[in-house]
Amino acid sequence: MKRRKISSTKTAFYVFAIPGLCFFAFAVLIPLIMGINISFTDWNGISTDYNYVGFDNFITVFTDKRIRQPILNSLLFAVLGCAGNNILALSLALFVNQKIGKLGNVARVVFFIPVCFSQILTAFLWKFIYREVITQIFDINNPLGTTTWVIPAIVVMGLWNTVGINMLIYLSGLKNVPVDLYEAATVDGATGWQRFRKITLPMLMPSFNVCVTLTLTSWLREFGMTLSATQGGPGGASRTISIYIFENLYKFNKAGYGQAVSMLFVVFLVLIGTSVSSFFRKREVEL
Amino acid sequence: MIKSYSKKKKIQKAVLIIIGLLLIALFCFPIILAILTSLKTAPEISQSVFALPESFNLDNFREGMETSNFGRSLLNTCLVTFPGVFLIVVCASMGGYTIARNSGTNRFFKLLDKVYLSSLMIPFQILMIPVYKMFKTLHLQNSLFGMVLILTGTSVAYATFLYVGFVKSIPKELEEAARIDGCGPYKTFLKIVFPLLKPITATVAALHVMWLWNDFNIALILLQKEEVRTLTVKQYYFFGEHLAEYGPAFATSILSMIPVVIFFIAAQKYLVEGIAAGSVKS
Amino acid sequence: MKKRILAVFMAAAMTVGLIAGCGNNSGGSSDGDGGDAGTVEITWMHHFQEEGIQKWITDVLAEFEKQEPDIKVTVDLIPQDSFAQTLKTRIASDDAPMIFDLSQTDIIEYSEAGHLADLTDLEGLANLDQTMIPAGQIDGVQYSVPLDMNGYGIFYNKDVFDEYGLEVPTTRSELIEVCETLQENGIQPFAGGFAEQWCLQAFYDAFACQTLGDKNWWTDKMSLASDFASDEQFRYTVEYLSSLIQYCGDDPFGEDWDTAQGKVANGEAAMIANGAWAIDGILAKNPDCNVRVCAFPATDNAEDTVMQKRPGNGFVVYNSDDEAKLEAAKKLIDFMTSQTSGDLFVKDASKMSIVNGVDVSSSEPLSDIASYDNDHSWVSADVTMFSTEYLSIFYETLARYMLDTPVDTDGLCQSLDQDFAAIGG
Repeated sequence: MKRRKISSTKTAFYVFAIPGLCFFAFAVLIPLIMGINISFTDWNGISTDYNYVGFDNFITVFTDKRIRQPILNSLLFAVLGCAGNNILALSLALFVNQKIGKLGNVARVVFFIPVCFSQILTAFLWKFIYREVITQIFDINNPLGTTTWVIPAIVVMGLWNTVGINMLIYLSGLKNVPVDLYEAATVDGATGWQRFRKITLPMLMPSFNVCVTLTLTSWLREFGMTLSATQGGPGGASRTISIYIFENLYKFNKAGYGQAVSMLFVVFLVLIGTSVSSFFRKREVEL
Repeated sequence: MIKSYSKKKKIQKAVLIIIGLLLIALFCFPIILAILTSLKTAPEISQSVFALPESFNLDNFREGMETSNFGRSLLNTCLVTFPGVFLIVVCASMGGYTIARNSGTNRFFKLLDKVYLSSLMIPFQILMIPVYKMFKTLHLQNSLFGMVLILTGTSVAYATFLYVGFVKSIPKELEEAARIDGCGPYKTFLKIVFPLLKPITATVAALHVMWLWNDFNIALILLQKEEVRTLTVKQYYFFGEHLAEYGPAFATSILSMIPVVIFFIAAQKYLVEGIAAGSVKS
Repeated sequence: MKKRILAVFMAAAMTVGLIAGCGNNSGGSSDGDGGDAGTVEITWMHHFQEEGIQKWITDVLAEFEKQEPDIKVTVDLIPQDSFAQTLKTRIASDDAPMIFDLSQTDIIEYSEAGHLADLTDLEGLANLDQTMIPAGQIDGVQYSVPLDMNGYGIFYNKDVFDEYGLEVPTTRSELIEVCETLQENGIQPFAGGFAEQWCLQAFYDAFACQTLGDKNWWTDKMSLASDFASDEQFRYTVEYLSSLIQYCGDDPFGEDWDTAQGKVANGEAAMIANGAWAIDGILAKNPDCNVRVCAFPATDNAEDTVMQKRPGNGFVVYNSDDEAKLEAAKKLIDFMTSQTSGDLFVKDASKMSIVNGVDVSSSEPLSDIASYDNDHSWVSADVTMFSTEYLSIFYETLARYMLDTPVDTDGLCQSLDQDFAAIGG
């Protein structure tokens, strides 16, 4: 009887994983493999035939001068976006978590509503604001038309649109910290800052894991909002790697090359993502 | 001593409230602007961006709804979002549970965990053409059903990732106790574990209702026929077709967001209960 | 608890099942294969956002239906930004629309891939202005049929000009004088709309194309037969463009196309340098605006001031294996070259139809363009211009360097030479 129970538990664990895996394979794995095939060809996206060119596309990526600006841009987006988002989200979560009654509830809802706006809509709305409102209030030029401020301006747009999500995740994490830990620390004479550093931060490691990893890779992959807002301009100042890939696929008729860049990009993202995630996973504290 | 301590607390509270109001104002500002603009007529808009509308003018909303076939696209978005979120919660909760419990010991699950995490980094462009080709072969083009499949498939990884983290915070003793009592693994999951996951389920559901509702990239290539277009694609065409007629554009945008906001506010209570229950239990 | 979960599950399963049913229905009818016996269904995919031209499409199809009741045309409007992407995705998946439109440069790539039907023996071609139809030909084979011609020049608000006693400028110096006068009086001389890169492109093109030299200028640059650094004519156009940026308002790169048109429409700005679609756009903003057209002076020699005339995108037929569809699509294109269609084009869309005999006198701005005869025009129909990648790099680099004043012409030329050489390699 016992042996049956053990094997059925083991099978059950595999069964649990199957539905998700099926959908995943269908929507992601299979297309990915199909896409890999294209990166080894010189397909231009339109013709019905193409040639295999081995690793040529990949080698070209390393000598491509025009990829440098998009790489720098994406890195800048990632740094500003990730830092901005997480600092802001954590602060908002801490704020909402304070004992300020109804205001906290209202704040939580208000901070989340911008998340309901789609990327297209956010870009549209903020383009309007930057062009008509900001120029009037501060008497400056439209930041989206300058090369120095276009990326920070788009980051602000994105923060408004996404900080609510991370706020929720940090809030869930904060609520999961047992109150008695704080009480014990206060009795021991710890200050607010010490409580934060020694209890809150370590207990939030799973939340940091999720939020920082995903925000970082998400900003590196930034595409839709920027394309709507500036099409990568002015003069290529806000062109991200994803936009560059998109242009190769559909504008320049270099589908093979575009897919090759995508491949290398995926590898890069996976390396960064997994290292950041392991960094936080190691520091997670299990009760 | 006590008096000055409570005074300090009062000042702290006051400062917090002021900061809070400022933050709320900043966040709300773009939304309020959108609402105000949607209530104005075109000449009013070109006159001044900040001024209040002269009257509570719903013409833009009416115009927007008529020209953009709003009802149909709203239905399409619902048909695509809610079944999708249901499937995502089912698959991700089970998957997350099993990965959380087994990735330490079993190599398959450790690998699966890594694969899911890595897949989150994949930029969408790389999948666009293969997905479209695949759908054409399967005759799933312009099919809402096919759309649900793709949305579920692309969301499973993130949802599972969220579940994994939180399942780990549930002590294993409860499951072991259930097993000793004679519960099979499926029963254990359904009766013991899943109810404990209410907070994260609420979060996952809320997030994915948002994302599926607002999905654009996939809808653009898979749902091109007029009858199956979703709200986001409709909006995009609307912006393009009507070359920045701000009034109707903002009006339709607000209309398409109202259902999601209502859902979120309704889910709020559940979220609060769940999160509170989670913390009291600990 | 269990019962509730079961109920939810069943509801979900039913919903999914329902969708599957709906999905298959719409999937089946969307391809347009078959339908009723005798009717042929074809799809026309376009990206025209202006109301006027959309009305033209509706009107033309209504007339066409009277003539050919057995042909059913479905129209798909795809926004400009995602047009190329959608088109390519659909072709790559055997779902190509039967009718779409391509620019002069795009037909090269698409015809090489074998996607375009040969339209050389369409009868209607004889109806069109013969100087324009070479734009749709490659080696004598007609692949695309252009239906309109865009004049590139200056579109100005005549009321503003009259108010300050300004005459149409015929030389560069006169243009600068006009700008100065306007600026002194608080009117923004040019509304550029450079937040959108194509606007800078159109502005530059409006005076540059006819000045750069011979018709091989573009192919020479692409084949690296000539470079930018030693190209005096090119350097001149760069310097000219830079000198005009100061007359484009306080924030030329923060202003978008829509705002620019609005400014000219209500008199805040006086001129726009772009293509003839601007007429429709300005009038949409303000139907009472007295918008007129003149050529953009390129040099101080009045004889060099010519109207640049470019054929618009040509309509193409997808090279389908389905004979019935091919026939039907060709009939529609043929109809589009008719007098009826041409008249509607002018009436609805305020565009210069190239159908012979169409009367544009009802529209003053269009008459202005028509008033420049062949001796005073520069036609691009037989010129091969930059292909997409070169185009993109050229205008983006231009935009980037125009953000600084004074413009670093040497840096600009060097950058272009390097990038163009890299593409070839």
